[in-house]
Amino acid sequence: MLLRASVVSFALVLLGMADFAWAQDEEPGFSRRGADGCIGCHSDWDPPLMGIFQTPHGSPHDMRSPFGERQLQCEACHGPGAAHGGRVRRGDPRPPIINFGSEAWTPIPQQNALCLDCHEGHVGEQWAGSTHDINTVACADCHSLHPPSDPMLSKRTQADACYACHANVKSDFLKPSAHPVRQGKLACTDCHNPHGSNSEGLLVRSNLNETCYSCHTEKRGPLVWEHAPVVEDCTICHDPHGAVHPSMLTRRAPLLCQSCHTPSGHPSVPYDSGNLAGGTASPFVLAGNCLSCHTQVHGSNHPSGKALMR
Amino acid sequence: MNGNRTLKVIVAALLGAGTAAGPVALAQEMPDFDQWQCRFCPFPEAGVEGSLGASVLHVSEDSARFGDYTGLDEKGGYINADADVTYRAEGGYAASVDARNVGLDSRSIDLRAGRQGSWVVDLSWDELPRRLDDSGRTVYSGLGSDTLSLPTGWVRGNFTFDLAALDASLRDFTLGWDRKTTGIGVEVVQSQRLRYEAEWTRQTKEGRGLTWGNFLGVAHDLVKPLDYQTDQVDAALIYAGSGWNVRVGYYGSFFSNKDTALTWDNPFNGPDRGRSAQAPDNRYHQGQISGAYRFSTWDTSLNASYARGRMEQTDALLQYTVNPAIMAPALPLQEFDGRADTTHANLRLTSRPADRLRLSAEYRYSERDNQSGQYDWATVQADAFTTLPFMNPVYSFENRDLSLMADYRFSRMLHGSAGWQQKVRERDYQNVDRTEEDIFWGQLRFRPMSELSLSFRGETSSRDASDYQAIPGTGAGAEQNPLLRKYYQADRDRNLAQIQADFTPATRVSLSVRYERADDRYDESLVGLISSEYDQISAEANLQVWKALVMTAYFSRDNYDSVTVGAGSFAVPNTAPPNWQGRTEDRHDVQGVALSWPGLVDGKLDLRADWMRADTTGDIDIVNPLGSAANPFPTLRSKLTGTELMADWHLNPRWSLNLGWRWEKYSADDWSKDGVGPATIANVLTFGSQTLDYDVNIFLLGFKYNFIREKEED
Repeated sequence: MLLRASVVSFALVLLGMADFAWAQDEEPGFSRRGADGCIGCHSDWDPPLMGIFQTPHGSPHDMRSPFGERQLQCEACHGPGAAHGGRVRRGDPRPPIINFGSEAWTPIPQQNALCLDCHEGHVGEQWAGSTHDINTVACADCHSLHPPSDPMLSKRTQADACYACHANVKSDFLKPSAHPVRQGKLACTDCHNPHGSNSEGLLVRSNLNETCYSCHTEKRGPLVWEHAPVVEDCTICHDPHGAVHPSMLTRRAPLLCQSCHTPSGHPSVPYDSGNLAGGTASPFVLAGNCLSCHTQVHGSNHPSGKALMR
Repeated sequence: MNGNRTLKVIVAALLGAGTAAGPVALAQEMPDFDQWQCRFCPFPEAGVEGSLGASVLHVSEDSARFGDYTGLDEKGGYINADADVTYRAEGGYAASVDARNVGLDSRSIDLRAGRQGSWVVDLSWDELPRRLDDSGRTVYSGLGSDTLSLPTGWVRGNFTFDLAALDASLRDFTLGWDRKTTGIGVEVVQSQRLRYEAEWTRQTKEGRGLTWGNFLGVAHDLVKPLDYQTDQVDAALIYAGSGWNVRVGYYGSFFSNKDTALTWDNPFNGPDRGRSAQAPDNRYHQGQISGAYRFSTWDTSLNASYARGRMEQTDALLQYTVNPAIMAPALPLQEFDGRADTTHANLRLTSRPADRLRLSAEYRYSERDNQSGQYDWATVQADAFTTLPFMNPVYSFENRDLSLMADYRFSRMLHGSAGWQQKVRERDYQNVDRTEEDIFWGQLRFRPMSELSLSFRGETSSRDASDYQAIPGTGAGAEQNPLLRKYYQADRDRNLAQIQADFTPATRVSLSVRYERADDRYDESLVGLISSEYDQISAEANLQVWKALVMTAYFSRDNYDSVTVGAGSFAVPNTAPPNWQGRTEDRHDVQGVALSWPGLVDGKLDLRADWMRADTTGDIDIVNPLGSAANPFPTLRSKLTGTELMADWHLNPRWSLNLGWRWEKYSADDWSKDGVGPATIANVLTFGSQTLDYDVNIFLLGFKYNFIREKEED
């Protein structure tokens, strides 16, 4: 009987029948003294909160800042604080204010709406319906507003913040061939726009290849002789997060090339360890393998470059 | 003011347990700002803040691979410096410098000045060192130029063992380049709603890259010159209204290469010289407009973007050959008229018709319309013989994606979402004109208790390809086996599953475990890639061991398996049935432990320790082979191990001493390089490059100075 009651209760909770929300009878007002009242209790808070005054959010000179002229200071983001900062009967919990992050009681859509209200022009254009929005990622899951510097905004520390959810990518950058994220020379946001994008994979440019061309401009073309998969999608052959094989290739040549090239003779026949240095020392397996002759694998602008050999 | 209105709406929504705000909520009284003095707000005073650091490093050995991206490629001492300094003036004006690795080839410096909320100017400098190889040897001179010459007295032959002067002519060299980026950016805030952004960057890439040269039946490793310059411009006007925004922008990219060709002497018998084309100059212009509008009904948002661009390439063409013995015809044109127009657009509608339900629909369009000229080219193969004329294909692509998604929050415990996506790809001049893929996915997020959250995601997709068609080649010998299906345009079934669990039994402990698996099946492909599988398991644990001592441990294992089927034949054309398989199994294991222990010895000592290990193996096995091919390849291996210990001793609030040791070891077995000397391959003269194993220790001694105010020091 007890078990059944527990199951029913559990199911009700699961289906939301017993969902609850914080509510109070009276509409809360803003505090009487603004930030001065907040600082009275929170100046030595752990984690420290006062670092915000060294950040753009704490600037009194920016009309858009919460601490700009006639702005709502702490309550601009945390909501009216009169009840929270007022007298509370002994034993009663202090009424909460709006707070931020996945663990906060404030629903994430409402948290994010607050941020977007000021940052509409920075991040709003592709946020709604984007991958992170759909997965109910809170702005504060990634961004830290109170420390003097936000780790998400530094190339050296950003990736660690992303790995908190994208743990699978962390190991990619330790592969033998990878972009220099581990060395702190490339940030996730050099290729991805976490606030939404018009391209797949939240990429910063209009599609994948155009994102790659931002650094690998020499491959943009168009060339006289193009290699079709190269101009279609770089990831047909490369894994940009890192790969076991050189040049971030998804598989080792010649097998990678043989997946698509089967003319008679050398492209079509198999190679094995008998073709290594201790055996026949085949040019189709060792050193540059296929590329030793088909040097222009990304395309050629040579009139005689049809076979990508010039 | 927008922010205040939204705040009221949200507060009202929270009070109403998530219902839409009514007008009554907007009646909330604004505060008496005269009482909001912010007297206790610790606004930064005018002056300098931040920190400066300097250090000396000692690197224990030369290593190109360790120096790749870091600039620490040479044994010896380095002097380094970092800076993160801001000068604040009265009135909100500020200037800052963020400089890293100033003494190394991986330096970056960022200077900013301006008044927040009004204007900001940003100057940046960044260097990225690539150190690709220091183990090779070459016989050529002129490395880094567009002409590679053999030494006087060079003896040519048919094979590498005939090259009598080879050993005496080889000399060491290095491969690599430096990528340097200079940038200037400006942001002007005209009003709360309107701002402008503009950024110009110039990126240069100078050094030596790896390429190859070849003639009939012979090839050789070569060094290509890299002298690239790319200018890029991003400019935008952004207007953010109340619940809507629009951005109008321009992107331009201008690439130039000082070396349009590489000419080299042939070390073998045959034509005296060869010449290959290098990357030609190109230009790209793109205009963009995008924006969003939020409707008051059902929390609905509409996002849209449209971008139209044009890429052009009109470099002068090389001649068909540099071999004077071949009478090649005149080129059809002297400068190529390469041009491709791009169009990208998306339209996304999201709505919340009920408090718990979210719906989203998106259409995405992307096109590359190649308008380049098509001509009959009388190709000279490998500077040796003329082939039948052939017309260059101009590849165009059109991608159309449509997706629908629903997300429902059953309760705070249970959240579910599901969706469908269709991807259509259309191509020109290829074996398959059109592929259409339907993807169905579902996801559940379950949080039965505050300490535990679980997430499950499943996805299944099916891609159908239109009829396969043969592409004309220049001769029967170039025809593909008719059973081949290229994997990126073939029928494919894909299944994907992800499971993640996050467990936080106490504030001091957290554990996260994730598993992902993806299976691709190409059941309609008889030749080519027929299957690939990927799975990864990863785990991370965080533990507050004692007081401030925090430990993080992580582990992951990736497996990538694939099967490629071949149809080997020397008959022309190749119409053989499938007669061999290549199976690959790649594995990547990562494990590590990190310890952080700040605040020791009365807050004077901070300690950090990291240990990391990344192992990779790759097995390739050829089965059901033709002829004598039967032996699996030796396992490809790489091992990367790193340890780092850092200690910061705070002498006083301003000064601290830094002491560090870093050890990193890398070793690899790679059959494509192991035992391959310059003359190992009879018909390929290589650099004889080996795997770049290293075992490097770095010792660091430095100091850091913090700019702090006197009262903070007290």
